[in-house]
Amino acid sequence: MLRWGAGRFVGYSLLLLAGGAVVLLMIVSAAFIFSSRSQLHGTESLRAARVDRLILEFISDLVDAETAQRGFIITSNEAYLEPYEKALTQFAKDVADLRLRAAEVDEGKAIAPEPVEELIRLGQEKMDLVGHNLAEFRAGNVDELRVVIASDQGRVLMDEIRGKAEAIREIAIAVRIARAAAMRETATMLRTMISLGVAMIVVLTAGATMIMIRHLRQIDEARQELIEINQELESRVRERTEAVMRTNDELQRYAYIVSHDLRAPLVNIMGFTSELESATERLTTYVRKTGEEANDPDQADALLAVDEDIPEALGFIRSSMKRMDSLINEILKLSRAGRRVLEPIPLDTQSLVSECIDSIRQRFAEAGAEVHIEGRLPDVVSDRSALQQVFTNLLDNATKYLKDGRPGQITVRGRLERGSAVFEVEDNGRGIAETDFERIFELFRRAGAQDKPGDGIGLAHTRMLARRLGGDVSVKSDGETGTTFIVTIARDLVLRMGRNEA
Amino acid sequence: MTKDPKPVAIIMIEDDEGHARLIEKNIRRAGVTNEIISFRDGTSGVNYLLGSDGSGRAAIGRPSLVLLDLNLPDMTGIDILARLKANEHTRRTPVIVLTTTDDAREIQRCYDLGANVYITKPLNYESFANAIRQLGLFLSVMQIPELD
Repeated sequence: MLRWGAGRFVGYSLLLLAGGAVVLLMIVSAAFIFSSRSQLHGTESLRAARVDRLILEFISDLVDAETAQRGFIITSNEAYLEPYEKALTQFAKDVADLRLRAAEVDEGKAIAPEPVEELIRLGQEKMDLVGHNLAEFRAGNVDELRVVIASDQGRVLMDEIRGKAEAIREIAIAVRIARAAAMRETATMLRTMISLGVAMIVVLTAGATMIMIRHLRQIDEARQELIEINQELESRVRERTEAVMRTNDELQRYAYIVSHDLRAPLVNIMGFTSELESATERLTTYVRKTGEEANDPDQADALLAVDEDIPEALGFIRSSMKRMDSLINEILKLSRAGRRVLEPIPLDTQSLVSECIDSIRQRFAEAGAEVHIEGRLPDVVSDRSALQQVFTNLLDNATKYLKDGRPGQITVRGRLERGSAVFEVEDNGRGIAETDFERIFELFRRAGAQDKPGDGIGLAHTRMLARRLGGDVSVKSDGETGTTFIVTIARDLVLRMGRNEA
Repeated sequence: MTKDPKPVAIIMIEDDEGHARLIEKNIRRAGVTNEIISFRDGTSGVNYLLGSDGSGRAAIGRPSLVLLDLNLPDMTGIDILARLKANEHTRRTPVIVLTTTDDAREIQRCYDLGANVYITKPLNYESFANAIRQLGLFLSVMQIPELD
């Protein structure tokens, strides 16, 4: 369910992301297009305005020149000629500008060159007329001049110029207004686009938020589900552990009761065997005594019985008793060890194993074996005595089953694995056949040649202890070149026990 | 002890016939001649010790010493011990617990209830016989309080 939700979430997210990207791209390109269009409209509008202004300046130049001419003629003051000269220069410049700029407006499509040229020609004519008048005045041809002025030629010309100029200006103004309108329209479009984009982004964000919230809710639900599953699993593990511990407890109690109840008849058998022995002694004395006197074959038989048969039978009874006694004692010991309350404390495993090695050093020397600890053993929190017993049993075992003629090499190593500590006791002894891997851990079972003393208790004990320490013991061997016992125990028994008790 | 007008009787509550016989034999070997009264179960033993009414009056003027096994078929020896030590007439009667159980808590409980001696039956017969014989020697010199 979580995976499905995540997939859908990723799908929706990608879709939203793509949608958002498209919208943003659209807005950006629209803004780009509209802004460049707006810039174009602006430029054109400015150009039109400039033509308008140039025309006004053009007329103003003519007016300036005429005013200067009039002043000079009236006052004969040379000072009036200066503005005339200035107007003349400015006029030439304005004419060139006007020709150029007029052609620029709407790429020359708005204002035809003919009316502009006509205006310029008329302007030039007017300028020429002013120049002619000035020349006449300087030459002293005042009459001539009066005729010209009286002819009103200049005023007519000027009116004509104003008319032409006004026509061109009207075109320029129209262009400017149109462009300005277009610019406004573009701006409106841009605004609309941006608003639309913003609206879409808001919608997308809302969608994304909704999906995110839904996804978060799904995650939360899934987590809740997971917690419930975990709790269920934990309680199931707890139940199982409790059941196992209960079974274990029952077994321990059972072993204890059995071993105790077995003892009672054993005491009788032992006791009455002793009684029988002492009775036999008395009988022997009597049979010997009478046997010496008469040479009876029955007496010889009886003598044989008391001398050989009875002591042999008693001897077997006794040795069997001893064996049974020791087995019962071992079971009792095992059941006691199983009932012992563990006391987990922080342990320096390295020195603990060293102590174990020291305690049975004598045995290593006798067997001609060498023991060494490889690397540093990880520290654990566990029961000291139980762990000591585990290592002593395994080391003792390794020493016991060495291969004749091969110097014994025993290696102890350890590592941490998640919540567990794993220890290995490796020897180069005679090994264990694979078919015996489980058997050796069973009570009173032994593997291989039965040439060493032992009851088949040690490994059963070791397994029981390892299990109580929150782990187990297993074996690895090729059956020839050696054996490795692998002991796993809880790294922190307090933690493990706490979890079982919780 | 034997000089007393009423000799001390040894009351043995032991369900295992073999054990009872071995105990008796070894006590006799130690030279103890006191009467040994055997009971094979707790009920009849208690009936004798406290009387059929359970009041304990039956014990008046009958000095005795109890040899008690803990594992009995009908009740535990600990119950018997508790009842003997709780009754005003029998609480001074010495009780020797003789059993196979060597559980430390069990031993402690018996002493807490007022057991005078606790002996674990050893599996080794020689030491068992030895222990019983020494117990016999011990019995031959020990003073039993008068009950009245």
